[in-house]
Amino acid sequence: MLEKARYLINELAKRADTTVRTIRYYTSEGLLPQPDTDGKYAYYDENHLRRLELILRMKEAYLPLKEIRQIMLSLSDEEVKLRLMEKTQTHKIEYMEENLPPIQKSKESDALNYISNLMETQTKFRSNQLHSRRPPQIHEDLDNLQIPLPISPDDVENWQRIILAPGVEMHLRYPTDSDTNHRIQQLISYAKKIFTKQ
Amino acid sequence: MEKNSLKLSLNSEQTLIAREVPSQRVLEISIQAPTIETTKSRPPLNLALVIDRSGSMSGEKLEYVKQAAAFVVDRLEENDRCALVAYDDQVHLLSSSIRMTGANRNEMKRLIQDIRIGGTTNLSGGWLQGCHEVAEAAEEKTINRSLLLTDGLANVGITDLEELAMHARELASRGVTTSTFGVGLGFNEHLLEAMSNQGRGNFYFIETPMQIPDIFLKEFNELATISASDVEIELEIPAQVNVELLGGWANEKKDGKFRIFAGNLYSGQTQEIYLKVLTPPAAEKSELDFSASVMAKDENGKVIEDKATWVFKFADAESVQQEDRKQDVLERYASVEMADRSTEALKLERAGERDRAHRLMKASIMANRPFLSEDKLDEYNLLSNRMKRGLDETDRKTSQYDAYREKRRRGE
Repeated sequence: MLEKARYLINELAKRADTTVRTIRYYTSEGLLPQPDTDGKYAYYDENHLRRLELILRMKEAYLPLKEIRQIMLSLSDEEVKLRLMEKTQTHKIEYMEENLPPIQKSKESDALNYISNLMETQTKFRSNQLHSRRPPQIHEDLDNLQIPLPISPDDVENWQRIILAPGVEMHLRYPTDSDTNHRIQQLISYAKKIFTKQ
Repeated sequence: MEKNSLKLSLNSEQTLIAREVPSQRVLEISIQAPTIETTKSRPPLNLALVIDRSGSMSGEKLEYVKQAAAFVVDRLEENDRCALVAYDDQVHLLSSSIRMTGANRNEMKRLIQDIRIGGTTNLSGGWLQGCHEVAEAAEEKTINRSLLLTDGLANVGITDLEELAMHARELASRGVTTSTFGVGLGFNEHLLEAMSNQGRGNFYFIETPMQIPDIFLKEFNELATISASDVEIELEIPAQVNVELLGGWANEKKDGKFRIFAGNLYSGQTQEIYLKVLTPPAAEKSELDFSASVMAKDENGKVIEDKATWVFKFADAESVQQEDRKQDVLERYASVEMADRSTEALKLERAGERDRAHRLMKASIMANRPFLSEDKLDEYNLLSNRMKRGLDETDRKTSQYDAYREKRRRGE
């Protein structure tokens, strides 16, 4: 098995067709998880690359930062992968259906296109993610556990109570990075196993 | 030069700038729209009336809105088009864009009369539907605008200020402008101002429902007497110069050129736009040139333009100090800067940051003191003190609206 690919920030930028500045900005805003460091350099991996690609797609759909952050924090690395694939397919289908040669568009049809695209892509993205603008709740349904996401970029410390079993609770501080999120999911499935054992 | 053409002029308080150190200067851009005979035919209007019918609009408010909308429809002519959208949590396209023939005008008025109260407020949905109607009906010469009226907060659909402002900007750059009308004390004044600024239209605060018809008429009259539409100023910024645009105008910076979108100007109107400029040390140069051009469309859709240049000359510290400063320029600038800062302070106060708001006001008042009238100083000081204690809604709305008009130089 090949060693996992690692990128320095400028390599990541090249691969994702964006800038170092943008990557730093997204990281500081909590859209991208922090890179790993070996003390000297910061390394990004394939997951970062995929996440970055998905973020850029959402930016193209004019989704605001707040919402993108919410979505990105709720997705596991696997889910990011899946999303990227399905979006590409949708693009392909749309293109084939249209089959239009590039024409000189007037300003006004540009406005129409802008509005149609906006309505369409927003609905697509929005229907796929959770809406958690409510205050922290107690989650009892472990199968459908969705860890609530920070609502504002300046969220200081917020804690979420998650019930693992009757009388057994877990406290989770958020915002968290995807790695921690991952581990939480594992922890919860394990806890479920133990507590529902007959 | 013809008396009746589009005119651009630049001004500053001094002509000299320091050779050895940076200098701060005001750059005043004045655009004068041509005067046209408004009794002649005007460009066809392509409007969408987007009306909030959410629960809070019930009673007087909605009645006056209906009245106002009917007033506007009555003033439209065969070549004009109008669409009608009412929104609550759903968007109701009551009429797609239709020509305002006699029969259609009556139909439109009937639809307006029939608007009923609904639920919550999908402002973005209603507004976008209105823009859609306008975009569909738009043609070469039409003045395309969405008129958005609300009394409340956007609580369904897109609700984020930055996002809505961005969409307004994108649509304006694609030919569909937006004016916003806020009724009562419950709407988000910063949202509506932002949408109209970026949407290259106007914002109106309507304190009491009774004012609605007059305000609509005001907007209509402006639309009907436009002599320069889609006004764009392009300013070349010399290297190493720092520039800050005041007043909230939609703008973009590209390759050292600054483009300012001033919207539409009506017959004979003069619009001033202010920039704060920081010039660098002279290096090898003897002067610093700011060249600007203005471009717009006249009432027949023809492109009209004008150019102007302002030259700053580098000089030694003493000469710069000795030069007379144009007080009138500084006074006009100060009133706009003060208004800009007030808006910032109001946003802080609304967010609960009363101390910061108060301090910002005090600092701005001090900085602009020499150039503001006694009356204005008193007004701002009062506002500043009230901010510390916390404003009530009427204060917030009226202060924001005052500041908005000051920035646009619409003293009324």
